[in-house]
Amino acid sequence: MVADNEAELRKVKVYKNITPTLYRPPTLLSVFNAGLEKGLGDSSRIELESIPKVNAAPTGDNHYMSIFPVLDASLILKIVLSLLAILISYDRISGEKERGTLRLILANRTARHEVLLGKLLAGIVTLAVPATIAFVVGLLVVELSPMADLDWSDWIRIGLMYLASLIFISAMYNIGLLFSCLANRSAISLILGLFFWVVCVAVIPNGSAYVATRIRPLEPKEKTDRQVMLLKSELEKQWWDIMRAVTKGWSRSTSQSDAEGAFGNGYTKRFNIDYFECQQGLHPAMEPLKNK
Amino acid sequence: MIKIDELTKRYEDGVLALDHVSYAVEPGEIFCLLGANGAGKTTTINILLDFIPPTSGSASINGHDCNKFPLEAKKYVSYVSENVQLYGMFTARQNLAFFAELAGKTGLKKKDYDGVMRTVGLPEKALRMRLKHFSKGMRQKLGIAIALLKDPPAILMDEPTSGLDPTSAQEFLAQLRRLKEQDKAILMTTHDIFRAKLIADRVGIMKQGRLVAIRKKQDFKHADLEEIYMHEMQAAETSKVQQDGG
Repeated sequence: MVADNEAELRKVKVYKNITPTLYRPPTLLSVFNAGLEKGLGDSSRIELESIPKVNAAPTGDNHYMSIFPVLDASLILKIVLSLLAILISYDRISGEKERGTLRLILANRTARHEVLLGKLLAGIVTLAVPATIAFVVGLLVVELSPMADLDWSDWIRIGLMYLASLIFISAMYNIGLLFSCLANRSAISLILGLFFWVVCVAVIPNGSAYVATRIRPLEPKEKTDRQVMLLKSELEKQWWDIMRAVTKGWSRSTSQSDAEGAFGNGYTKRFNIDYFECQQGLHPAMEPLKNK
Repeated sequence: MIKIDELTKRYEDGVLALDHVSYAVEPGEIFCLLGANGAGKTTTINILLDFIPPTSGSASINGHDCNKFPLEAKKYVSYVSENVQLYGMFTARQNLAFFAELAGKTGLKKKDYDGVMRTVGLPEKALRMRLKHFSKGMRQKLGIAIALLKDPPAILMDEPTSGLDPTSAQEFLAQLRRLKEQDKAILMTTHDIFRAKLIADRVGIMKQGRLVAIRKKQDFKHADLEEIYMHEMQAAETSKVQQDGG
């Protein structure tokens, strides 16, 4: 990326033709949860005489790609481990009832809460192992990367994510265990558990967005586009007003500039100073924009 | 050892499963409960093991009320169910070890397992076999082995001979006699009048939640127990019709 920009810098002859691309570095914790990282653009091309905008995401041109979620630790927890929690828990009690072993267990000096606690702890430990492995692998990826440097706030975030993950899979396991207690047959507890899982993983996340748009409908795209265009043309108009005010009375020596390229003295020193001041918002001509 | 006193159980749907039932099983005694399906035999066992609470009356084992102090009462009782399934993926030894630990028997050695397997008539090599390869008769014997490892003074058996072939059933009865000699109090529910006659010291005949008769060994030793059973059932039916009519 840096090499591309340097090559362009050496190739162009005038400043206005330099169009460097800025890249946004990936978020450190996106290994654990990509969030909107992949859905948003990560680069922007800087051109003179145009307002920079963030490039579309890799999937931006193909809307069908958005149905494929990004595979990260949180997706593994949300889909795979939650399903595993239901599959592990569904016959913990109902299966014992079917086999008749629950009666044999409870015929001993074993209280019901001890049986449930044992099932709960065994399940949580079983599920915590793959969850911990997912986090450890993620941490290794981050730590082994020479560009990454975790500070204490990152460690706290990772710790909280890990804790939340354990609570989430424990909750799913508990729900499966509850269905297992309520049903006399493991087939019924499995159906109840899978139904709950589908509701939690698919219906609620997608359905809530649908319900939200029904309650508070989005403005039509055409209207938003029109507003954006209006704002853009207003900004561009102001920008050109400023440029006109700034360049008024400039002396320009073009004899040498085009021949020597961008590294030469094509524009006068005055241009450089004014342009820098405009960028920093220090130039008197920028006053009208300061309140925008 | 096992005491049932005015025990009544009415389910939430209104069905009266037990109606003021009283009896006791003494050490060294085998008490067989006979009755049709729904007579209340299994309900009695469920109350003794605190699987369900009684509506009124009490059940106790070794003086401990099964409803008020269930964990204390269960110290003195083992349970052999109608269909001993256990854990199919575990070996016999693993099943024995698991249930022995639940019963508070820790630190058992190989000779303890071998001894109990010999006692119930299972070959020692069966210890290493997974339960899913066991026949019903072998599983039933292992169920008794689990009960023996706990070594309690009272044993509850819920239709233990159901589905056993004649040879296995005979071996099972021989095992029961040995347990009786060890002074165990055994309460066994069964439909099998023939085997109840062979093994029981007393039989209790139940009909629709009521204990309609208790007969001692001398009453049926030289008589037809099936005839006695049918007679008592008929008498109970007549008595109920008269009560309803009156």
